[in-house]
Formats: sequence, structure tokens, C-alpha cells
Amino acid sequence: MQPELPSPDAAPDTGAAAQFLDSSSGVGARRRQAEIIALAVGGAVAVGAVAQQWIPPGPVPLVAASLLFATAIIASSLAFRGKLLESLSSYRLAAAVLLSLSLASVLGTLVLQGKPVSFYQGQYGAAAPLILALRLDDLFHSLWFGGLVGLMISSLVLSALRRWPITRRNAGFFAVHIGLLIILAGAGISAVFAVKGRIHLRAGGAPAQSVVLARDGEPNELRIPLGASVQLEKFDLDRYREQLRVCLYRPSKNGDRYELKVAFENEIGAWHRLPGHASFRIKELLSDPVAPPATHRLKGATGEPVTIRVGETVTLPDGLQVKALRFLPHFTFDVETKQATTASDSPINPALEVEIGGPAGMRRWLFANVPGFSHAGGGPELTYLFAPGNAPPADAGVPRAPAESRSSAALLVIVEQGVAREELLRVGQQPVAVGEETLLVYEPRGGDPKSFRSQLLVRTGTEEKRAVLAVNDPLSVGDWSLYQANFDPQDPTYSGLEAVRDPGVPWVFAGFGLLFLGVPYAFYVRPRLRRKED
Amino acid sequence: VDLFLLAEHPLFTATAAAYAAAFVFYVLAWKSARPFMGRIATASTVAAMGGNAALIVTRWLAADRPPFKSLFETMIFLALCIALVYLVMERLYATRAFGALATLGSAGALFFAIAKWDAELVTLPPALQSGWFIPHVVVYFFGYAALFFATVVSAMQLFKPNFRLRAGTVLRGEMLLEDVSYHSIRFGFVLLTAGLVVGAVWAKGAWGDYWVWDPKENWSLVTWLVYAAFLHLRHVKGWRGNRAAWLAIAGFAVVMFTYLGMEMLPTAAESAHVYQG
Repeated sequence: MQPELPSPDAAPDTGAAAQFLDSSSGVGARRRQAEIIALAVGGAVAVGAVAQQWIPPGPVPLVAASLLFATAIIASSLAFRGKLLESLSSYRLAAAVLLSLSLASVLGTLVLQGKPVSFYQGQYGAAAPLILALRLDDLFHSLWFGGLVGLMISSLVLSALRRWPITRRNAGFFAVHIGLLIILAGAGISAVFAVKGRIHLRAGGAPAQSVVLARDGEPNELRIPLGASVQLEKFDLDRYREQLRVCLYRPSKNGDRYELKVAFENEIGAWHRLPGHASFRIKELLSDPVAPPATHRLKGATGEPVTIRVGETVTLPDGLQVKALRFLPHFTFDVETKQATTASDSPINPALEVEIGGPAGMRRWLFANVPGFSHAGGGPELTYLFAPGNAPPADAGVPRAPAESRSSAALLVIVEQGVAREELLRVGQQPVAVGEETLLVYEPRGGDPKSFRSQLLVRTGTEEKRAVLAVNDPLSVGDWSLYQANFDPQDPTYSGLEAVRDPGVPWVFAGFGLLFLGVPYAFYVRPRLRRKED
Repeated sequence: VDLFLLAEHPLFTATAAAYAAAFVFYVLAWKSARPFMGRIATASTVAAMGGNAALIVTRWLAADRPPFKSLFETMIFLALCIALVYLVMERLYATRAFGALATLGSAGALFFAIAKWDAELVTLPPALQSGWFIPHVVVYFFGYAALFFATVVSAMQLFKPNFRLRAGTVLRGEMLLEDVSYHSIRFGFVLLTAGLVVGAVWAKGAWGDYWVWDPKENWSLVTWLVYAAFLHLRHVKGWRGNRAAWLAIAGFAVVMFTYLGMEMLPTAAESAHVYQG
């Protein structure tokens, strides 16, 4: 049995560049240490890679493998001590493990993770069996990765044992290294025990009482009880304002498409420089209404399309009774008034609101740009076929967005090689070319989702409460956390929630806290204490 | 590069020009025996930072959100962070020796921003509307700036080992370049740790998971691991001097890939769904 190792902190401090080197100073000793480290890292990877040929992948084998490997290393180091303990608790080993883990993480971003076997066979051909055997397709669950994590655990534990007990001086070291151990422990708990799934809700629909577990490649959805019932009373999707802008397009580098370079502000009279000694200004923004079509055409699940006018009720060949309520040429959702409105008079996003199956039936918007859209809620199949009308402009009582954004044409003054000309740029019409490669287009910009939130009614036992769930603002229901995950741009009643039950989180966050405080302590408080005490 | 864009952005052009001028003055200060040239260089840097800060403030007001959304916007912020970290170091170590490469970094960030010019003010998606957004970005970019400074010092350590420091660029006492870069990496590592932790806590609140092995997450973990390895290797014999300098430079290459290289990865397209909404 070798004598107890001196604590590395006991080594003398050489001023600002605090250095306490690993005690193996001779060339031969250092080589032996390097061999032990290479053996440990290589062994961890090799044992894991071999073991995973028989053990199916998954969180439990991963965590078990890391713990087994760490325990084996710690036990043998403490049993044999000497060179082994010194090497496996050394800075060198720590650096080797950190760099190996970083290489593994890089590899995990170079090979697509979690694809079906056929994908790797198509992508890598003859190398595919090797990639699959090494589990590079699910690298972060592979046992060789588990081996590296095990080595990290043993390195953290052994280096901490060498410095025990905790003092004011080494508190930073312990906060960081124990913090990392707690994070790994929490990650292990998450990997084994965390449950994650989806809850699909519809406004006014039935309450959900279970979570749908989404496992890739498993056709049968698995449901587990939520322990509460969650009902969507209302779903709000707000979008940023959409505005028509004069946009400049130029060919992309490889010339295969045009790229948006600038979307100019709608400022009348301001000159803008263009490529090739040209320039332009907006002289006027014009309302250039395209007449709303007098008739619309609807197609049901079967049969020929049927013509319909706004206000009229028709029966489709498949027996469906439909009433056209209103038409918007450029459908948009006004954030302030929370009303469907038209952003311009041009048929950019023609939409027809219809009522299906009599006065008590459902109302919904049909979008000509999304043909054949079948209602996700199981409504009848109905397609809106839009054809621009040619009737004279008329105010059809359509609710309107503010005048500025409604202007559907811009009158430009373009100066090219000293010659000025006027051009009318219309929405949805041919672009205007300036020089060889510059195109000016007048088109709607913006309109991306600003926020979406679910107004929920949550019933737990006899208790009933209302809550609003939004992105970045999760909700706790029992031991579940609910997150606003997504929406369906074509179905304003749909809200997708993520439901997570993860007992590892408190551990991981506690570890984060220690890490967050420990790193600055080790670097900035410790040297001051050291200076004061010396 | 679409230089015609600059016609409508005189402040941007002036800021880039001021950084470029500061670079020239710092280079001249290397050779100058008098402190005058160095002072001019510092003044140019301060002027450039004023313009840079104004760019950020005006963008913030115009977009009505923190201007850290697009690559273009973060490049402008990075230029300011690099300059600010450098100026602190200039005072701390009382030397202008590193000014040329630092201002070259700021100017380079702005020139790169021209190539990545935003066609329009993009809006903030719901996931980024969070109290964590500003601390996450600010902490990371000051961290990147500190690591850039360490790279500058390491480069000088490697390529100008017998650097004669003139009156214009005094290096105080017997400070080793290696220690300067170590101090800077230590500072950068504190910020990388904070950024990583804040990012994970934010991800938990926004998507329900603190870690999903997304490529960007992976690469920010890789940067953290590489610099953690650097800090451990300082205690290993044979890993000081030029080897440490090379490692510092390699570490910054990883930082740059994490920042700019994500679209080259085959896994990048898959990552988008994680950040949906």
C-alpha cells in the first residue's frame, strides 16, 4: 500500500500564474501516467463499444454502464492507490476525458441522430454497418459514450477525494466538481424517469385527461394519465403586422435564385441607392384595387365544383349544404381588433368564410392558397377555388386594414444612368427590373407569429382553475409541467402542448447553481484568499 | 458584397472606418517611440465604440426589441464587445500592444456584417421573448470577446516572441503574454459557464427540456469542454508556452464554428424544429 498522496493544493504557488503540476515529474513517470490514461480512455470506449453489441440501447443501460464503469475505476484506484490513483485523479486525465467528450459531441453533430437503419445504409453505404455497430446513429445513448461519462464521474470523484476536506480555499473547486456530479446525477434521473409527451387540444373541444407519448418509429400512440383534466377554452394567435413593402431582389451567389436584399420603408420621397449607379424613390402609394370576384367556386369531396355568391346557400354534389358568408382578398388577422381582415385589395391570400350544414353548423375560413385542406378536426372536405373577378371595383363591405398597408401599388421614380422614369409596382404583378440584375417587387412582409397562448380550464379532483399557458410561461399541473409547444396555422382552434414530468430537473438546476457560483469563486475569490493567507 | 447598402447607413460606415483607422494607428504605435500615436489609436477606438453603441441603440429602437436576433445584429454587438473587452485590458495591463489585432477583430466583425446584411427588421418569435434572452446573449458575446482577446495574445506569443515594445505600447513589468491570455480565458470561461447554464434554464422554461442534444447546444458544450481542458492542462507539465497558445487558438476556432458554422452541419436542418415557435 502506497502512502496517502499529498493534496495538489499543498504545492507551492508561483505568483499570478498559479501552478501546481501533477506530481509525476520524471520523464518515465510521465510516460507511465500517459499510458494509464490512454488505457483508461481507450478502455472505456472499447468496453462500451463491445458491450453494446449484446445490450440494447436505452437510458437505463446507459446510466447503469456509466455508474458501473465509474464504480469499477474508483474502487480499483482506491484499492491499488499509487500510480493508478494518481493518474486517474490527475489533471491530465481530466483534460483527456473533456477532450474525448468534446470529440464525441462533435461526432454527434456530424452524423444525423435517430434515423431509421435504411437512412444510414443509403447515406454511408459500406460504412453503414460500422456506424450502426458503434451506435453513431444514437451516439448519446451508446455505451461507449456511457463509458466516457463513467470516466468523467470517476475523475470528478477521485480528484475531489484527493482534495478533501472542503476549506475556504478549495470551496470553488468543490462547488464546480460536486456541481458537475449533481448535474450528471440529475441527467441520469431525467434519462431514466422523465416522461414527455403531447397534449392536443381544440378550442371548445373535449377536455384532455392523458398525455400522448410520442416515441419515434412507434406507430401505436401510448397514452398515460395526466391526473387532471385540461380543457382549451380559447386559443389566441397574434401575428406581427403585415405590411406591403418595395423589396429589392438580387441573384444569389450561385445564381440559382433571387435573394431579398432590402425591404424598404414605405417613406414617400426618400431616395434609395440601388446597385449600378441607379436610385429610386416612392412617389406615391396607390390603392389599386382589384375587383372582388362576383362569384366563387367550391369543390366538395366528390363531384364538380359549384358556383356560389357571398350571402348565397348552395348544396354540393356530395350533399353538403354551404353558405358563403364573406370574402377577403388578402386575409390577415388584425392583432389589435382580433378580427379577420384584409391587408390589401389584391388577391394575395383569398379567403372565403363559409357556414356548413345550416345555421347551427360550423363556420370556417377556406383559403384558396391552401387547396384541399381537410379540417384537422374531422370536418367535411371542402376546397375553395379562386378565380380573379373582372367586375368594377366596389366596396363590398369588407373590413379593412389601415390605409397605408392597403395601398396595393407603389408609384416609383427610378433614375438609371441619369435618366428618370416612373414605374408602377403592383402587388402580385411583374417585378420592375433596374439594370441587369436588380428586381423591385411590391410584396407583403412580416406577419410572423408574435405570441400564442391557450386559455385553459384545469380540473384536478374537485378543484377547478383557469390559467393561461404561453411560450416561455409554463404551467404546473400536479407533477407535470405543461408548455405551449405549437399551433396549426391552418386551424386557429388547435393548440399543441408539451407535457413533461422530469424528477431530474431540481438536481440539474442545483448543480447549475453550484457551477455558476463555483467557477468565479475558484478563479477570483480563491487567489485573493491565497494571497491574503500567504 | 453589396456596398450600395452602405449609402443609406453612414453611421455604420463611419464606425467601421473608425475601427479600421484605430487598427492603422495601433500598428503605427508598434513602431513609434512616442506615446502620441498610441493615444490617437485609443481615441479612435473610443470613437468607434461610440458609433457602435449608437448603431445598437438605434436598431433597438427601430426594431422595438433587443437587437440580438440575426447574425447581422450579433456581429455588430460582437464588434462592440471585442472593443470594450480590449479597452479594459489596455488599461489593466497598461499596454497597447494588442490593440491592432483587437481592433482588426472589431472591424472584421463589421465587414462580415456587410456580407450578412439584414434585408429587413425581423420580428422576435415567441420563444425568444423571454427575460433570459438579453443575459444569455450578452454573457456569451462578452465571453466570446474575452476569448478572442486571449487568441490575439496567443497569436502574438507565437508569432512575435521577441516583440520589442516601444514607448507607444508599453507592457507593464514582466507580465508574460501567456498569463495575459490565461487571465482572459479564465474570464471568458466564467461567462461561457454562465451562458450555458442560462441557456439550459431558459430552454427548460421555453420547451420543457434543459438539454436536447441540438447541434448548437452540442457545439456550445464542445467550446466549454475544450476551454475546461485548457484550464486543466495548465497544471500538466509540458502544456504551457506555445502548446497552450495553440490550444487557445484552437479553442477560439471552435467558438467561431459554434457561432458561424452551424449551417454547414448535416444536423442543422433537423435542429430547426426544436426552435419552432
